[in-house]
Amino acid sequence: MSEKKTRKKEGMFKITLRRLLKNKLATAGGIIFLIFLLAAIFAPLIAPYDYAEQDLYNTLAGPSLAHLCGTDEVGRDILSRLIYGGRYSIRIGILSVVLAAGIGVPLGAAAGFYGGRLDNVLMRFMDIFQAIPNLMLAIALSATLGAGVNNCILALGITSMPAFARMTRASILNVRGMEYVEAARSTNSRDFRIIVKHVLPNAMAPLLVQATMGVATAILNAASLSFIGLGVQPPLPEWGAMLSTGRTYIRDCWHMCVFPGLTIFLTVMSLNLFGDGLRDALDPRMKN
Amino acid sequence: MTPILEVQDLKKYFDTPRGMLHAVDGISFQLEEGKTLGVVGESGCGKSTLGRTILHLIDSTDGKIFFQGKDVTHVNAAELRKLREDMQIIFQDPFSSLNPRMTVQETIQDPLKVAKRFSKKEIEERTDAMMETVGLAERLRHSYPHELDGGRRQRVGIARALALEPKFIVCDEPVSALDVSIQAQILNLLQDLQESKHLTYMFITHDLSVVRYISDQICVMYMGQMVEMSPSKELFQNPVHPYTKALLSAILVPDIHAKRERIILKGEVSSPVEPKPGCRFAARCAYACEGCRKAQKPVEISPGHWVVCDVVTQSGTKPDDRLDHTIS
Repeated sequence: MSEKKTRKKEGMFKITLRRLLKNKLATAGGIIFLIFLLAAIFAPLIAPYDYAEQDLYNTLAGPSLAHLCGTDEVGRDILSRLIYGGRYSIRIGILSVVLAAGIGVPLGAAAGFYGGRLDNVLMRFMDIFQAIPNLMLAIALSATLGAGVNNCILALGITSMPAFARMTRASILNVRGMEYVEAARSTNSRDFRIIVKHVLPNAMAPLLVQATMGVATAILNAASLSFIGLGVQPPLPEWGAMLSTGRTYIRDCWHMCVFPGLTIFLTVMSLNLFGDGLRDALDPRMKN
Repeated sequence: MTPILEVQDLKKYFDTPRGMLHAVDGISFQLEEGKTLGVVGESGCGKSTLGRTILHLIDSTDGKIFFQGKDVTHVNAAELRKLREDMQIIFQDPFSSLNPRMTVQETIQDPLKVAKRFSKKEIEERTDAMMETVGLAERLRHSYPHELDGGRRQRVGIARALALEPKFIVCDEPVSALDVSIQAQILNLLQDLQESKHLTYMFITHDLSVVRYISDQICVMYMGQMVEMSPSKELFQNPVHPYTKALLSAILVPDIHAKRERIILKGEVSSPVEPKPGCRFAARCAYACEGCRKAQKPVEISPGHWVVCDVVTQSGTKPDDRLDHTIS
C-alpha cells in the first residue's frame, strides 16, 4: 500500500515531463533553446574564429565556406560572434526576466490579494513607471548606472517589472474570489501559504507566457541599449547590437542583418513554444 | 444543556457606495449540539453572509457569538486558529471549492498540514480514514477535481471540512449544485456523519424540501432579518408569518391533481441598502399596516416557535381569512 503511494508520488514530476515531451512543438522549442544555450556556454570550443578577430582584407563578405554567415564591417566572422553573443544576449534576456518577475510577481500578488489601499499605492507606483516609455526608462537607468552587461540586466529588469506586477494582479483578482481560497482560510492557512499554494499556481498561466515573451523583448531592448552605447560594450558581441550595426549595411550586405535576426527569432520562438508547452503540461485539466 | 452555538442580535453591514447594506440584521438563535438548524430564504437574503460571519470568515458589525458557552465574537489570532478547527464550512459549488491543481489527497491533507501537529504517518492515516468516511474510493486518491463528478467533488469538500474533526459545520447550500439523485446521497452522507461524529450543522439552503428533510429547527430569513423560527415539524404544519406561508406554498407536490393554494407574492424585493425601519417584507405583504413600519421584536407563540410579525402576534388571530391568494 505505502509502496504504491510513494511510487505514484514520484510520478508527479514525471507526468509533467512526459506531457511536455509529448508536445512536439514544445520539445522542439526546448531542444533549439538548449542547443543555443550549450553553444553559448561552449563558445570557445565551437566557434571557428575568435569573436574579436578582424580580417580587414575580407570585410562585409557574404556567406562562404570559410565564413558560413559572412563577415562584418571589420571582417569579423559573424557565426563566431553569434555563438559568443549568446553568452550576453541569453544572459540578459533570462536574467532580466528573472529580476522583473522576482520583483513584479510578489508586488502584484500582494496588490491583487489584499486589494484596498495597498493595491492602490502599489499600482499608482507602477503607473509612474509605465508612464515613462520602457526604453526611455531603461536608457535613463543604464545611463545612471553606467554601461555594462550587469547594469543592462538591472535596467531592463526594472523596466519590465510593472508588466509582471500588473499581470499577476489581474490574474490573482480572478482567483482570489474562488471558494477554495475561502476554504483554505477557514482551515487556518496563513495568507502566505494561501498565495503560494492556492492562488499563484492557478494564476500562473499568463505569467509563463509573459515571461517567455519578456525574454524576447529584453533581448531586443538590450540591442537598443547597445546601439546607443549603453549596453554591451564593443568589441563584445551581442545579437541586438550586431543587428543594429547590420542595419547600416542592409542594402548591400543582407547577411549582416539576417543572421543575427534569425538567431534572435529562433531563440524567442523556441522559448515561446517551450513556455506554451510548459503551461499546458502544468495544467492538470489538460488531457494526458 | 448549554447550546453549542448561540448567536445574539448578530449584524453584518457592508459599506457600499450607495450606503450601508444590511446583509444580516439582528439575527439571534441557539443551536444545541448534534442538531441541525436549517436557514432558508431567497437568494441574497443574507443566509450565506450569516454563516460566514459566524465562522469569522467575515467580521461581524455588531452582536455576539457564543461557541460552547464562550464569547467568541472578538478573538485574537491564536484563539481564531483554535476556533476554526472546531468550525468548518462545506461550500455550494463543488467546482470552485476545490483547487484545480491539487489532487484529492492534497486537498484533504491541506488542513492537516497547516495544523502542523500531525506526523506524516498520522496525516496518511487520517486521509485514508477520511476518504473511507465520505465514501471516496482509494483509487481516486491522486485524481484531480476535474476528473471527478459533482457528487465525488462534494465528498472531497466534505472530507476536507471533516479533516480536523470539527464540532460545528456550516453547510452552505451543499446540494443545490448537484443532480437530484446525488443530492440524496450527499444528504444521507451528511446525516450519517452527524450521527457518527456527533456534528452540529447549520444548513443553509433555498430548497424547502431539503431543509425539511434534514433540519431539527428552521430559521426563515427575509432580507437580512429573521421572520420566523420554529422546530422543523411545527413550521411546516403551522407556518405563521405571511412570508413563510408564501414560501411554503411554493413547494412542489408530486401529485398533479392535488389542489394547491399558491400564494403569489406581488411587488419587488426592496433594497437592503439603508432599509427603512420595521418589517422588510411589509412592502409585499398582504396584511401590512402602519404598525409594520416600526421595529418589531420576535415573539414566542408556542415553545420554540418565534415569529417576528406584529400583525400576527398582536391580533392573536391567524390572518388566514384575510388571505389574498390565487388558486393555481
